[in-house]
Amino acid sequence: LTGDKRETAVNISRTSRLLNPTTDHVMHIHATGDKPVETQIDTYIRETREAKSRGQKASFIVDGAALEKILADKRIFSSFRELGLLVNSAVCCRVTPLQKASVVAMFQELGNTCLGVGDGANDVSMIQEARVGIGIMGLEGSQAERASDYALPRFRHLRRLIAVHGRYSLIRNSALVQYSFYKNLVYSLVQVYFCFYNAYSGQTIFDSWVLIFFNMAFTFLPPMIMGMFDFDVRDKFLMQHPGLYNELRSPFAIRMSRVSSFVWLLLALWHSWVIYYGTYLANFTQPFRYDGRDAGMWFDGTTLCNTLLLVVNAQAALAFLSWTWLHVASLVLSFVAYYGFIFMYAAVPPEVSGVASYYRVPEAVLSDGSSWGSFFVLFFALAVPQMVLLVVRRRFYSIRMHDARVADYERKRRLPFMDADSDDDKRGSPTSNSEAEMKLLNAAGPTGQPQQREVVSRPPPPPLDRSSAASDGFSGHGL
Amino acid sequence: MSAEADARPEKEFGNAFFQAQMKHTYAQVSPQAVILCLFVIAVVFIPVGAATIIATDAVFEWSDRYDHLNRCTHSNHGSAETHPLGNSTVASGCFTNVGFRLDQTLVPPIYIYYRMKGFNQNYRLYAKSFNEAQLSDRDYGLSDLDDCDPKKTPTDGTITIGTETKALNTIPYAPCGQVPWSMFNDTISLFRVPDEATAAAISQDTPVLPSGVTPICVGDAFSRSTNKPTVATGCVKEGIAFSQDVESRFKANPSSSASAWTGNGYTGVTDNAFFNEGYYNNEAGHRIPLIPDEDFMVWSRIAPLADFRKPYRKITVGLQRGLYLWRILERFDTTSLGAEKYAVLATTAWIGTKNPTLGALYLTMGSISLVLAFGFVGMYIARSKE
Repeated sequence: LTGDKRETAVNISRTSRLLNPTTDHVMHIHATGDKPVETQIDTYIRETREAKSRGQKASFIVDGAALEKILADKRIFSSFRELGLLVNSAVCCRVTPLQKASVVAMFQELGNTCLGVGDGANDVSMIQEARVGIGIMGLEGSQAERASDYALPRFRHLRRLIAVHGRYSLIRNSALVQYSFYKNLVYSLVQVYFCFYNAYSGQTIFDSWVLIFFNMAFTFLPPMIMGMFDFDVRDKFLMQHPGLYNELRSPFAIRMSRVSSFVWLLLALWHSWVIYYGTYLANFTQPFRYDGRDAGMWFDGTTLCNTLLLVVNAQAALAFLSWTWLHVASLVLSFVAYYGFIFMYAAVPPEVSGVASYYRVPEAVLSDGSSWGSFFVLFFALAVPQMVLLVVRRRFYSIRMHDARVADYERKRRLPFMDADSDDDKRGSPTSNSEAEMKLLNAAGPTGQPQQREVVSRPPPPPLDRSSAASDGFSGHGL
Repeated sequence: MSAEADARPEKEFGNAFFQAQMKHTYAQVSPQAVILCLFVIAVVFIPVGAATIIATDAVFEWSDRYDHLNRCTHSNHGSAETHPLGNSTVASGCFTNVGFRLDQTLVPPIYIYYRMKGFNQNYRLYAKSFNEAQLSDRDYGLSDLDDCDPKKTPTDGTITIGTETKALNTIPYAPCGQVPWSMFNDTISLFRVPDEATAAAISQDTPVLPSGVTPICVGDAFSRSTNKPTVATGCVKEGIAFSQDVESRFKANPSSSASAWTGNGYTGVTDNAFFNEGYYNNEAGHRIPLIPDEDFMVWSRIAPLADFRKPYRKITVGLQRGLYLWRILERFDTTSLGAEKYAVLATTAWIGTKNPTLGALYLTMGSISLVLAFGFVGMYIARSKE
């Protein structure tokens, strides 16, 4: 969407490879001329369909005057939108800032999400209209930058923003939100089930301090790590295979779709039911220990809480997509916090504390065979089927993301220098791709073409000399 | 611009932590690892489940319901015991006899439990209706005891202690609250009956047992404050409560004075016979619990469900096969509540009392793992052949 004249716009789209005048089917929409705009659009819709059936890409070029007519009339507007959804790319030249915003709004009305990139003050309306507005910093002042959601120094950084950061943002937020709902549902439902047994009086089975700290201390670290540090494929790999972004639209991808939210809900119901009734049958109804003494409500509540925390944190571990020392530490610290807290709390002698009913209960729980018994069996009952399902899914019903992870992992293992800061790009592309990577590469990329040319046919870069690498994109490697 | 330039490494900003580019690994769990894991689980769980079930089967448990026989309530009761009240006496309570046959020899320690069904100790307002400061002998004021309402103080009226007259609602019960007020106070005793003829002569409310019936455990032959037996008998009361309760939590043993109403009674001159005897006001025969009493400690441990069992006595002699008799002095009215009372005789094992559920869970989980492991192996072989 540009304010330049038609010829300039065409040239720039050619050089930026938005359209190729020699191989693509390019259609021009004129405001003046023999055919009215609506006829042109209807013809072009037909031509586009024919071109696509031939395997040829189609693009159109429209100017501001024609756009004015289009936006004024409802019928032409809807055919224009239909054309816009059919073509591979489009150029609008001589558009005013308001028209830029109208074009974006046209697509977003349908419920689509648009990303708008601009660098000047005339792009501000469009950037603000688009769901994701990106401003390029520097060249034409800072208005676009100020109005945008994300500001980039160079246009080429858009690739990393979407392929890497956009992806990570989606999977991190989705995992965090869905996991948080799940853990709170399990925690609350367990107490709801107890209500059926305490004459609906609202007595909690967990001690009040444990209740407070559940979300504050015992289960907050894993979701925090999930939301800040988790990722599924390495950024370098994503940069080389940006087509992996496409599959995030699938409801089975790691995102917050209705399907996956429903699955988490079912999981919460199932887990809470098994944890509560398992502990109820194995511990609440069989209260005595080996020495004949009676356990009491707080004892059983602690057993229940132990199992609950183990299952909930194990679910976080299953939801982690990668593992760093932070992920391990978050799980370990959660358990340390819980056991540390209840032992400290229960060690306060009754002379001092006001809640003496909890005095030295945890040590009694941890030395009781039945408590440990139900703890382990319920945990395995819930975790094992999930792990099996996970492995079955990844191995036998994999989606591209799974292949990408396998390929990335194998590439890491093969090249001995592989770690987070590896310089595989400096050394040149790997001479052989693993089987998993070939499988991935042969899948259709975003442009409908196999992506081999992006990786295999790269010319070997100049010898290792960072100072000679240009810091911007215009390095003369073939514009 | 070429694809290569786009994929070129950026300048290094910050360290690996802030760029979330730390050393990492993916949990690429292979099918072999999962199959191994499943087999290990099956191999561990199935024997544990079997051992648990064998241990549970070896545990003996026998329970008899007794509240429905005489339906003893506050208003409709016998005269099992008489309570001195000033210059007069009051009779209340019922004797209940339940016979049973023991088909195996039991080795001590054997436990007597009482079980109640339909009594919600886990009701929220009930569960907090007592005061810890009173139990652990700390200072407290009358306003600290608000959780104990309505059993905080006797209601209206006055009492003259010596020469002083005070309002009754300024003298709290010690211990106050519904938990002590509702303490289970039936006395359960176990007798051995020598033969069928004697057993036939005993009906459910015979007040005096025929000769020939020998006591094994007399439930009320124990001091309420020291928990030691006052008469030699084949059971003990010490050790039914948790040691941390005995040592730390229930340390007070207040005596009646002008400031508190306790179960120890008052030896001075007052115009309220209930205060002198240590009964709850206007409730003859309903003794205020003594805090060091292990029965009270056991009762105070709130049960999680409405159907619960609590330890009563621990029998230290062996029991042979034969006929036995529960003789219960009923004071606790569950008929008005619609609740049930049972007397339970049981032994324990390392897992506690009978716990078939745990063994069943382990066996089920072990079998499921085994089935999953084999299924997974099959699936893996089938898929690799493709």
